[in-house]
Amino acid sequence: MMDVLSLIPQRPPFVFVEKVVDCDTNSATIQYTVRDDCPLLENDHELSTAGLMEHVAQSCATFVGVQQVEKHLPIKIGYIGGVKKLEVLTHPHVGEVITTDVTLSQQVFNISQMDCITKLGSDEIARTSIKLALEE
Amino acid sequence: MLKDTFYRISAQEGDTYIFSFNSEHPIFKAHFPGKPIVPGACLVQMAQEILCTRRNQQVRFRMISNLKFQHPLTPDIPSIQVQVTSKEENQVKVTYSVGNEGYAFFTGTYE
Repeated sequence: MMDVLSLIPQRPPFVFVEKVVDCDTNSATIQYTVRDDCPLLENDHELSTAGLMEHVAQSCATFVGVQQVEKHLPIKIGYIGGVKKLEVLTHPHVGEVITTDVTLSQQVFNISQMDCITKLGSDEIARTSIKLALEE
Repeated sequence: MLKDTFYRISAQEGDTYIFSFNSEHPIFKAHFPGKPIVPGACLVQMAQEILCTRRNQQVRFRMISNLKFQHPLTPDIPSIQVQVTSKEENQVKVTYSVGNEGYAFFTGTYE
């Protein structure tokens, strides 16, 4: 499987994804183990709501990165344009493995709208829909 | 978490805070190398920290809604303002702006 750092422009310590578990033309599953050097931890051990949002956004960027690589296009900086609603049920702890299922709902030029569900084990812990704009 | 390392508040008036970024912070070397941009997630984190300070207790956002980032923010902007306005119970409207121009908006529901 491809190294995530070849799919996104972010670099450590600001990397909130680690592995592409699964990917096809319209969806992907991206994994992240919460690291103790993560810059968005609360109480030193819990991923904050903002951290979870960054994980979801980078999961979307990773999916778009796979698409770019498959089309032999360069990896570009992606900006979060909007989030309709992000609801967080549980904040994962350092060492816990979370996965986010990203499903493409709409893609117009350089803007992609993606629906995302984040799970800890089999439990859903967050759900949202993100608009990501790739730099021209 | 980010306060006083990633950003510094220089003034407050009512529910509006004036601040600037520390462009030497490691986050700006990682997001992105050679092209520092303020991560949108950090704007959410900062609003939560301001809320904690204001309420003098730990609170956290459980839900973020209607978030819009209008323009990318770079850390070299000397002065940015954020308005954190209480709406309904346990809810705030957050607006980041530079001069009269809005950069980011969202509604946060906290617990």
